[in-house]
Amino acid sequence: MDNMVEDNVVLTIGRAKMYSAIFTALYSIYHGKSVPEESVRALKYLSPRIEDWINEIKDERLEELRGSYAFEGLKGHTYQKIMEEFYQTYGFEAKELPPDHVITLIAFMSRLIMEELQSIQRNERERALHFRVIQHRLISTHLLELLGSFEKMKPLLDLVKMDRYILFSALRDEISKSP
Amino acid sequence: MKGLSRREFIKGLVGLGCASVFVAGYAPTIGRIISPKYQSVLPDEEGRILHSACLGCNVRCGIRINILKTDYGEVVERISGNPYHPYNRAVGLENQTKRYFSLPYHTPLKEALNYTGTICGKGEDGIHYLYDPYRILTPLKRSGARGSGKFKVISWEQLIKEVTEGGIIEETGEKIPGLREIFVYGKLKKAGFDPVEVLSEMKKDVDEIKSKIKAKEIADKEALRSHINSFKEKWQKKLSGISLHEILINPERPDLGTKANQVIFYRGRGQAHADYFYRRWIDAFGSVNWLRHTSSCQLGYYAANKLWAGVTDLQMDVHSSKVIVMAGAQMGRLHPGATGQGLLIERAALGELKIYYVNPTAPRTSANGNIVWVPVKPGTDAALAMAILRVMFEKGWYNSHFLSIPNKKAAEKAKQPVYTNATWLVILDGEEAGEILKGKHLGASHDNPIVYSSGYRDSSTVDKAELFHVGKVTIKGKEVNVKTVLQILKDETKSKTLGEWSEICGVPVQMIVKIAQDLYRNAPYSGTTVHRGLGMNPVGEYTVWSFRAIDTLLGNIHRKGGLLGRAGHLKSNDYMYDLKKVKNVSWGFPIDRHGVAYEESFEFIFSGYPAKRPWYPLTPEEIYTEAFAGIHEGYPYPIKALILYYANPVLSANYGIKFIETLKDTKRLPLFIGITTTINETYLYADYIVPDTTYLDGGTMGCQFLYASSGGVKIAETWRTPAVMPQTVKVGTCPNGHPKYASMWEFLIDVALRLGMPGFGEKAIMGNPEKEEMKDRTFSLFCVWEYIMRVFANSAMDGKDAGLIKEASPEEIKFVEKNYPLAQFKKIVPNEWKYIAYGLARGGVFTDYRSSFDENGVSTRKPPTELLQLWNEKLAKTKNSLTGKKFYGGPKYFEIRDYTGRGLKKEFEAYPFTVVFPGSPLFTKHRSMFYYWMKQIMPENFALIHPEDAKEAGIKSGDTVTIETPTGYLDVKAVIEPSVMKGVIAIPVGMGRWADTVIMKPKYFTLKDEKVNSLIEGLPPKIEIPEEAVNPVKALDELRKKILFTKSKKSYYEHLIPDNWRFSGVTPNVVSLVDSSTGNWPLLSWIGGAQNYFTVAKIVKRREGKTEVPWIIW
Repeated sequence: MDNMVEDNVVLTIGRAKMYSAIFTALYSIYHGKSVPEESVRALKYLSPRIEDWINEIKDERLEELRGSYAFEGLKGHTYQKIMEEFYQTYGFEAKELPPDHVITLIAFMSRLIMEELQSIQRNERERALHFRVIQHRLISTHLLELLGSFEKMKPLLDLVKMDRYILFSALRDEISKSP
Repeated sequence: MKGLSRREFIKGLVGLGCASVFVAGYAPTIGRIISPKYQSVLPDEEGRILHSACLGCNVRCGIRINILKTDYGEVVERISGNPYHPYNRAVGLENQTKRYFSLPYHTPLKEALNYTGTICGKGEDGIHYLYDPYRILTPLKRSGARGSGKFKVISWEQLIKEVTEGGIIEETGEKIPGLREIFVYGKLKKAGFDPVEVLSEMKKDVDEIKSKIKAKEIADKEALRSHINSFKEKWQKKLSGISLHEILINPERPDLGTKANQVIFYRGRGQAHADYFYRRWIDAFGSVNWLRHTSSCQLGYYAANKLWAGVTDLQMDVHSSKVIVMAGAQMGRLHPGATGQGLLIERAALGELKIYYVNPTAPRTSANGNIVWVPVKPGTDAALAMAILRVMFEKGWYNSHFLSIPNKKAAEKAKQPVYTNATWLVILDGEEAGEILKGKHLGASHDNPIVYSSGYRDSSTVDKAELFHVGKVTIKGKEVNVKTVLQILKDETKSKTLGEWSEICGVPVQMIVKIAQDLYRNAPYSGTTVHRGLGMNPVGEYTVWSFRAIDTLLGNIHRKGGLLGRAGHLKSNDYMYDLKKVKNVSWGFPIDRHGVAYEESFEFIFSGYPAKRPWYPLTPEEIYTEAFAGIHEGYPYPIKALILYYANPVLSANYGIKFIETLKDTKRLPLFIGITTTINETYLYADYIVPDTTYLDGGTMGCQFLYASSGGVKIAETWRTPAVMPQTVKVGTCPNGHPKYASMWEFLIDVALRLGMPGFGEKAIMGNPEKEEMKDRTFSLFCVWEYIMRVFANSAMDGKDAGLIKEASPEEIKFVEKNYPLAQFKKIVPNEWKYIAYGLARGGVFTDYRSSFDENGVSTRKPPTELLQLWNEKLAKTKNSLTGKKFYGGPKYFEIRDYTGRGLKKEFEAYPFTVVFPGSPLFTKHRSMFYYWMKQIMPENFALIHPEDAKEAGIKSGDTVTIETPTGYLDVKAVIEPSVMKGVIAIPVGMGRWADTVIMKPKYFTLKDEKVNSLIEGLPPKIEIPEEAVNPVKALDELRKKILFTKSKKSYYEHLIPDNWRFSGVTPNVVSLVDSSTGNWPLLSWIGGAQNYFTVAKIVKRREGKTEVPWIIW
């Protein structure tokens, strides 16, 4: 394995941990539980002030973090359906939480990175690339817009924006290397 | 977090990635919130579910069958795809977005049941094969003249007795011979001889004479006569008490073999292990006439590959190829079938693959522009190949490194899986013209091919040699010209300009160059997928070979993305139980003279050229036309009995209608036994009908190999197992207590038992002596279950020892025992059962594509061949048995011609149109007419005509046109579409039936040969058959009947009456071409004897029609 690939794998593992930690934090808060220490520890690698943000939102109600609430009019009305179809396109379905909830979107990001890592492990580059493309699509099409509509999600929005950049650069390199 | 820079973020991510912080504990929660979407297809509480193999077409997809239990018994309810199978690729967790791969083989069954696989419409509609109201369920015997359509029910015992001992048609008084008359083994045994000992020695004596002929020690009639007389004298004395006439077909011609050769076992659709089983039977009988339908299938393709590579089947990697020239390969019809080809189309649509679709008819999808239609004038494809090759030579677009390797050792050194004979030199003139120049020609002590590498050198001593060389050498004192094989090919491509080649094939020069460029740029991920359209015409072998020359220049063989051989399979015939060997001896020429040279026969010494009929020494498989012509003309010897299994040559061969003459003639064919599910156009002439099982109720059970399009996996075999027990009548119980149902299997076993054939009954099967635990053990064979369970045992144990098959878990064993009817026979193979259950549960044994290649992209399997030949010395030395002239020995473009080499251009002049017979993805065979659901999508077939041709002739869609061909007139409905080339009429095959246990006289054609035409006019008005002999549907409950046949009146599935929809459309085969140089028998290809599937035609009449044309045409 050359250095570049090794770096990419480490970055992907980092990204997997990041989304898993964000998910864990939000999911715990959603259910009125305290955020597990390891999630906070993980996110601190990315920003020392993350703990402040978690403290700020830990008593918040997170039910309204949904596209249906965020967007007015037709878009809001159909957003649940839009997300359902988005997952379905890639062979998945949302359960337990509404499909247009931020936590569900984060869970999907987490799931996609896990699939990507599995593909890398099995040396299936094309499949890994495939899952990376879906991540980029999810972030660009839905996640950024949704996070951007909730003020309290601003710190999270910054992280995801950064992530999109990482993802975009990696994809650009990968595609330019393709025969 | 404001101000976080990208650099810091990346640093943070790397730190997090490396840190020992684990947040994976929440993965199950994530899995709960967002999970794969699938529909559960777990077995119904009231039913069963199992995996097996499809037989809608021939590609052997994996299927999942749901069986419902009702108060009236079981009924097959639904057929879907098996997600473990490489063709049917799982639709599930990882594969919904790209349906590329099957489920990993060791996925537990419980989990696998949550996934489904893809399957085509034919596969789903297989239910109507099982529940076909026209299915025969009991044995029948002719009760009127041959072809009168009159049959009566007889008992199984009477059937077995009469076919072995002979019978009388009570209604006509005709005497029918039994098989015992020609069962030589039995005669010798009865006379107190050891049959194997006698026949082995006799064969040795015949072989000795033959080898003397070969060595030219016997060169004239007198010498041969004298040897034959000595043979006769010896054997008449040795076999005192039994006449030589009782043993040999003709004692004056001992090379023809024993009288046992006078029985033919001819199969149409054959698949493992039925194929191996009747091979075992005919071997035990002692006949060489085990024949297959390949001439009507893909024989031209097989024969060409054999000339080129020594193997019959090589196709492009469906997973990783980037450019495929798909020539004469009907999309949706070619292996791997409609379902498997979904992968090609999906990859093309995603831009991973470009297909150049070389065909006179258009592909049915352009896949986002990546499937490019290259219309080519029918029969001129070789000109296109020559043009592409010419460009490749001119531009240097070939793999010179690969081509210059002259031997195996050098190939291994260069890490090449195969090598070619491109550098070998060919003698161009003199006595040895066409031969490869070898050491012996130049007086050397070795016999290796000679190459040019700074002088003439032994090919085995150099690692590379010159690709192009023209020179002179001295052989036996005479100077002769020599050229390298590649030079010959290059010169052949330069025999015409690019513009001239383009003019011949109709493909623009620009397109030719583009194809060549794309092929070269993407090598070795590029190459050709070729099939019937190229091979099934008189010059088919040369055409296929010309395309394979392109692959050779690309060096794509046995490589990822390139040409691959068939997937491997396990030792299902002998790993534990030796199911192959039987102790009998046979020799002689098969009735169709395939695989044998005329010059090997004694007849050649006596009569010389021309032979009475063509011989086909270089064809790998069998020929319908020549088998029937052979029976008709008693050549090379008369036939006494034909056992025809699962076939319909009258309809499936071009102008096979002529075979009726032979089938109807009780003198030329005294005994005709039909093994079939329905009485089709051919079985109508049978003396006895043996009812057979379908692939869903015990027919063609066993371990099925996959074709070369199986994606390059190391091992892939689909296991076919009955979904329900046979629907045919129960005919007894074997001595070991197993039930016997009327079928091919039990018929052959019971005939064998009655005749006392070796390899059946007690101690019939030997244990494999190489396995300590099987040594010196013997096993009985009284019923099919005792055979088939051992087939699965062989495969399972080989799979286990190879690390592929595991011991099934108690849960999986429980599942198999609940769901698979075969499980009731597990006691036959108690030690192997838990491994068999593992394979049965998964529908076979499959390895993964992704682990099939090494780091260099070379397949990790043994290469299918070592040497690729662009010049075949054997062919160059072979003479046409009618003219005595040598065949050309390499790829070349020829115009269409007859067997003697006479061009047919002049004869075709009066016919401006070429009619091609594409296969349809919906109806692949004439038997497909039982597909009730498919017929509602495509109720009949049409003649596709180009809009410009239609405008000229004043035809519009829905009109009926009469087309005239050299052999007859055909009325067919027209569909005007630009998806066919101008000047071409396409009539998809598969329809136009007239007999299927009922008769509906065809009115859509008349033939110019009055004698043949009268055979159709003389068809009986109906088939007279007792209603209790047919129809498994009657046993179902009313609701099931209505669900199965939603659009039919009750009379269709309750009574034996012809329903129009089963007999719609036309078949162009009936007015196809014949060969006047072989007595107006169906036209065949030169080398392979492949049936010819095209004709020429003119439109002679038009009748306005108002038929509504369905939007799906074919």
